[in-house]
Amino acid sequence: MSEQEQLPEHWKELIEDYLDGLLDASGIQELEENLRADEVARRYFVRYARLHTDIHLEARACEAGSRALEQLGRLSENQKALASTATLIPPPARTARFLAHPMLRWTAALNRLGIAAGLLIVIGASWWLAAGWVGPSRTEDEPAIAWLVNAQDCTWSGSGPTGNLQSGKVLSIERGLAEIHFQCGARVVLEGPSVLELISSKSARLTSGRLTARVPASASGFEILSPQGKVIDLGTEFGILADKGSTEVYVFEGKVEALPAQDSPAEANTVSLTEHQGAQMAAGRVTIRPVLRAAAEGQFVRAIAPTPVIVPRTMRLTFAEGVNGSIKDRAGFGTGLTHRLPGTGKLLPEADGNLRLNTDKAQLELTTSNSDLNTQYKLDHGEYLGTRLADLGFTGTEDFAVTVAIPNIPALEVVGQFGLYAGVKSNCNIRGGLIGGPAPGQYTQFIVNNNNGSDSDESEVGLLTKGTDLRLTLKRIGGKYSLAVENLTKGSTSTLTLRHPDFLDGVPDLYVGLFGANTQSEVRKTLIFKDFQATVWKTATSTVHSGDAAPKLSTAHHPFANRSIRLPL
Amino acid sequence: MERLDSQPRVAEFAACVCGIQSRLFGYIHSLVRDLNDADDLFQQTALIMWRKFDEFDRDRSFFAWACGIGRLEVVNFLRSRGRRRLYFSDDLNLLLIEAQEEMTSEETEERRDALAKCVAKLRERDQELLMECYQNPAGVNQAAGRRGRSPQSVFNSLRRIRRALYVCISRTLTKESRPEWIA
Repeated sequence: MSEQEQLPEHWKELIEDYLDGLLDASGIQELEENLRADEVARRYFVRYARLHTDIHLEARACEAGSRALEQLGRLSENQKALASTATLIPPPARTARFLAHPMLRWTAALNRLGIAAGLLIVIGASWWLAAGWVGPSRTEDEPAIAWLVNAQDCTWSGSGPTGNLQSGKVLSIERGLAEIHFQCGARVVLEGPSVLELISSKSARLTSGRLTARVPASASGFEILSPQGKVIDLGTEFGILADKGSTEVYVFEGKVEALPAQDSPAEANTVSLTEHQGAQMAAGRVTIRPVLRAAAEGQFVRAIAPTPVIVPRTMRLTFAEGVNGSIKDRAGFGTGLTHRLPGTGKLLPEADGNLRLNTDKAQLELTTSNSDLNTQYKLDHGEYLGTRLADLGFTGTEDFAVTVAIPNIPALEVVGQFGLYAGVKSNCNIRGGLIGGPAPGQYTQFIVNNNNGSDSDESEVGLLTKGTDLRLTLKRIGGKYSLAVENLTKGSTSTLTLRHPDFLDGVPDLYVGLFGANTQSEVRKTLIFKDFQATVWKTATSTVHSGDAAPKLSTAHHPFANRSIRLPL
Repeated sequence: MERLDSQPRVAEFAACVCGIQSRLFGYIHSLVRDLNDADDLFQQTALIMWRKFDEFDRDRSFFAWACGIGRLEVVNFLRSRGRRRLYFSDDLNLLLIEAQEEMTSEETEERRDALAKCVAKLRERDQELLMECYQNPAGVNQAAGRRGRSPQSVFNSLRRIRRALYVCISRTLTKESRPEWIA
């Protein structure tokens, strides 16, 4: 077990959703970004998808097998021959339930029958021709001279590379990194913005931008051309930067030759560069220049390092047992929740009569009190309790989320409200949840900023009725707050966002938790909370995978080196 | 179509296909996710591969070549279904093909073998639910209806079962001393 276990849970959920066909276009987009950015995620994806396939095959092998044979039969006049082909296939060696899929059987038969089965393919092929199938364009068939093997945060100008890379292909990358393997064995890491034209299996033209090339001895002679000259590699690693009338070259290891672009191919113009030497090519000349090694090497990305992996740190309360040292319920049992939102609940007794930890049902029962964050009304008795994010490693900038399930919601009187909050104190926070409408038991979803004690920027949506089972999630991802209300009864989800509450930005610690209040009525109701979770996503040192990882990864300069992956819950 | 006299080529093609078909099928299925569609597309892909087999460069990876053809088929198919942007971009596909290729036929086989053992270890009702849900595209809804549960909760159960299977398979493979990272 190892690196794949470190994949963020959310990524795994996305893959599950994808396989179950539950992702919409934006979900696909998000999954695509994750997969593109992370090789480990791709490894996991292909294996998890394989599991999905295998289960399908397991469940449906026999049925699919006969279907495929019928289908092939329909392609041909010669159905009788096919039928006999089918009967020739012996029962598979595995258990009957665990048949291989139709194609396996088909080709097994093909192997056995040699030409006879080959005939079937020919018939099939002509059938497809007759049906007017249009195959891949010619260019797809031209020999590839290079392959795109890795990409990170790439934005391509125009259409990105498709298929294999043929001679003449221009790779124009606006941002991000792309790694290209040439047929000769050279590997190039291209950093956006750059334009690279592939010339042959051992040469390319860098019109603008920068790249590093790592060339094994067997590919010695690999060339990178630039508008100002060319660099011939003699089995080494070098970086090259083409920008506004001049080209800079720097040698990491080994030796290169640099030639200025000039009509006279005189020997004297060739300059040899060795390890840690740099040169400038401009105006028909190559000049060796003194370089500060660290500065020179910092200019280039030599290998695509995995984007920092973000791991969740979660505090989860199932309310199935008392927890010492936490806020106590009426009977003195610790609820597991540790902090009240500062400025609230000051006059509540230590054993809070409004709380009941029901361990049999694994739930926290909260009887609302008459209070309101808006106008800071009677907050000394307000029930706003939860935890603090610093305990989960929060330092102010991390993404976080807090979530809780609220089954069978009761009918609160007018403007009664419950949900989740995040903030510094009672007059500086954001909260969201459900707010009662004029009729008891009818709710709309809301999220609101509270700065200096009054609500502002409120948004509301939807209509929910009492008795519904909900899961609420309040989160801040990439600095943006949102509230998701999953209606477990109806299986629907709606999400609300609001104007960004910048008054919470840069705050090194936040309190998050749940609340319930009968704001403008004296009628108190009891809410049930289950499965409370607070999560902070922390950057972790990612696993550097085995394989031919280049030594000494230099990503300090990489514009995305410190960028974290956004992880919506 | 003068291929009838090309018996050695048929044998070569068959051998090539045999070596990669299971993984090719997996690749196609991972893109369309519907078994029937994958089945059709696989058949189409195999036929086109045969038709273009002359053009296949023997120095290249047959699997990558086959996946390239399969990918075009899948994209044409999904476009024809009007599934706008519900598929991956071309460059991600290349990366996925690379990841697929890294998973050898041998590992694929081992995974499937392990799956059979791991399914057998599931609780009986989980086994039933799994088979029922995977029987046809409407399986989840049918299973939910039959049990008086919401489709979402059946999906959740399925996930739990799949995760358990994945872990079980990884363990089985690790025991058979796979490289560490596969688990």
